[in-house]
Amino acid sequence: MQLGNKKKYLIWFITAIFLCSVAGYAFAQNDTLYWGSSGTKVRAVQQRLKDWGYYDGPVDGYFSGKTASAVRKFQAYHGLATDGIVGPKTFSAMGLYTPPRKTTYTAKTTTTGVYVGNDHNINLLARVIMGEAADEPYVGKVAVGAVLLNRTRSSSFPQTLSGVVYQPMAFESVSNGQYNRALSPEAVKAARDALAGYDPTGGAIFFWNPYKPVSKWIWSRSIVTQIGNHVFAK
Amino acid sequence: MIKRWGIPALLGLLILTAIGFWGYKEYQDRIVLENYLNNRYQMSFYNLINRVQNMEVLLGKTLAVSGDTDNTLIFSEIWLQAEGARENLTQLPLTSSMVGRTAKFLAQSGDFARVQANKITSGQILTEEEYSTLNSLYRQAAQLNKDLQGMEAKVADGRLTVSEIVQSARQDLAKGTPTGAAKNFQGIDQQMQGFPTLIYDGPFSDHLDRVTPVGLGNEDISADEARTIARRFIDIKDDESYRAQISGRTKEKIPGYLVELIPRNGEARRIVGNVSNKGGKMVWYMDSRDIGAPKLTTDQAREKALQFLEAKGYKNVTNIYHQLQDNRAIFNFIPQQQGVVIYPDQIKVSVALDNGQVIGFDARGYLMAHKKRDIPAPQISANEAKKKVNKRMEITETKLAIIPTDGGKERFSYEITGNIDGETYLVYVNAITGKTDKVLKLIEQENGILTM
Repeated sequence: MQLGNKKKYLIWFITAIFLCSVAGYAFAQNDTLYWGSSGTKVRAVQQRLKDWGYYDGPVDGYFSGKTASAVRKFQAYHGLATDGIVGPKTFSAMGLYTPPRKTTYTAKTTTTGVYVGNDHNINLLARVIMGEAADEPYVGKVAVGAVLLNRTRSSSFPQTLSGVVYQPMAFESVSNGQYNRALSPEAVKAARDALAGYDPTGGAIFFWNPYKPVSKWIWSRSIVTQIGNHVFAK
Repeated sequence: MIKRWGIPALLGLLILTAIGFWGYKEYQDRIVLENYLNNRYQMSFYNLINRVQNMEVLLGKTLAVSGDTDNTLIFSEIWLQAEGARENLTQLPLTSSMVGRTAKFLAQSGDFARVQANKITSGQILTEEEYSTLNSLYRQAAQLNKDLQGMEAKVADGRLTVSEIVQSARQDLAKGTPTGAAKNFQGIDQQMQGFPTLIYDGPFSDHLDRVTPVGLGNEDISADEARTIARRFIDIKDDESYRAQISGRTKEKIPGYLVELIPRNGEARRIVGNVSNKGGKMVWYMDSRDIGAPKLTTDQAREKALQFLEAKGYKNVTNIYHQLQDNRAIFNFIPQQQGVVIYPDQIKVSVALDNGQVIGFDARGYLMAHKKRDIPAPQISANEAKKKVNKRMEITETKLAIIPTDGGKERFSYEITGNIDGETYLVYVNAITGKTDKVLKLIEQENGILTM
């Protein structure tokens, strides 16, 4: 009996490690619920499944095997892939939640059918502003946008806005994907102001947070001003 | 005993297999992605070599030709190759501290060649000085080519991979001194220091960094004066409840004080602006408050903007362009002198459409460039100028204008506005030489007019 218990613990221990690694993997991706996930979203899924008669377990916010089989049942009924994973499609089939759509600046098409405009640039600029300066004051946001636009006019950088944004090693938020977050109206507004020509930095082509570790080289640039937590330099 | 161990052992084995399989798949995916990325970088690198090689050959050719109109193509080709090379270089995983000067060399060579192409099409002959500049650009391109070929040899041997550059560059960010492949690039970049300062009429010309404002006064002002100036200038409806604070100094082309207006009632709203050290001019300011539902029309807002400018001493200005967005209107104004519109001296004013407050102001263009111009008499008549535009264009307006060039100079031109197939174009014909300086297309959108 004693031995049996120990073994049981061992099995649970291994299973737990396995679950943890799977769960960790699951949480790394946004808004996908797996066996092992937990939280309010799981609770919502369980409640919905229970209300609709697919699930008879506890609504405890813990994605158990039972929850998974209920999800599979639900998916089979709704013509979804029966993988027991709650992804964007299953979420919206449950009517719980629609995946966050990026607030895009919709182009106001003109009467003459001209497709030339600044709309794509507003989006791109707003995303980097969001990634690099979400917590900065408004003027600091416009300033970051202005730096990107100043780079397109500088000989040491790519010529186009997309070239500047996607230049390797240029912006941390672009390298780590943070710039893909949903846009705030303020970021879009700041991007528009920067594109309209407002430049609180007066021509800066670099910015950095002096409280974070940066390469020593960057301090050799001539600093123009400081706005919020960013130092701007030429 | 065996039976009791059997199930857990099997379970453990299954779990281990699952983890192993998952790990292997992840590993494979990583290899595929890494190869893909490496190949993209290799492509950029080889394209860079090709284009620099083409540049070297083309720059060499310019020394052999006479520089008459037949040679325009060679100069345009240099521009094309140089811009392509700059794009390839800036796509490599290197920081701007490692490639900044090389990119600048490429940009300036292309820009310089383009300006020469323009010159020879208008019948001008290249000067001795321009030939010697071309010669030094040629030698510099040859050196760059040689260095890149040296790196290529290492890449071909497998002694250097581009993904290695990514790794080393990431470490360098922490250490500050590049190692491995990145060092090769930095070495090249350091050699670029030796290349001459280029001054010509193009956007990347070195003289543009040294332009100083002409529209400011001479007296220095104190920080206290700057606060007062900002408080008086900024359009705030309830100015009783704000205090002005100096939040920093700016060392740009128009050096000044960064002034912040902070509401005394503790609201988060801030109005930030810049007051110049010399002459105490308000350079720009921005109020980021939320704007309610629009109550003003565009025309009423324009009237508010004009009243504001008038009150601040910016008289005799015309609105040339506007945009509507987020319940505000952004207007661009330019002054006139002797009936001639002066495009370089722009002032931007944003008006909130809920209460007509001026929430944004930028006079940097005006303060940098505004002075009394010496406007000459046009050498060609308006009718002669009109002959330079396409016959199919239906001309609606002709006026005289001073327009800025890419290189920061100014040209005196006729601005001819007209329609072709329902679309509006602006053609600028030089009032002295009669050559076409610029063509712009007006794009009218619901939210404003754009020129391109």
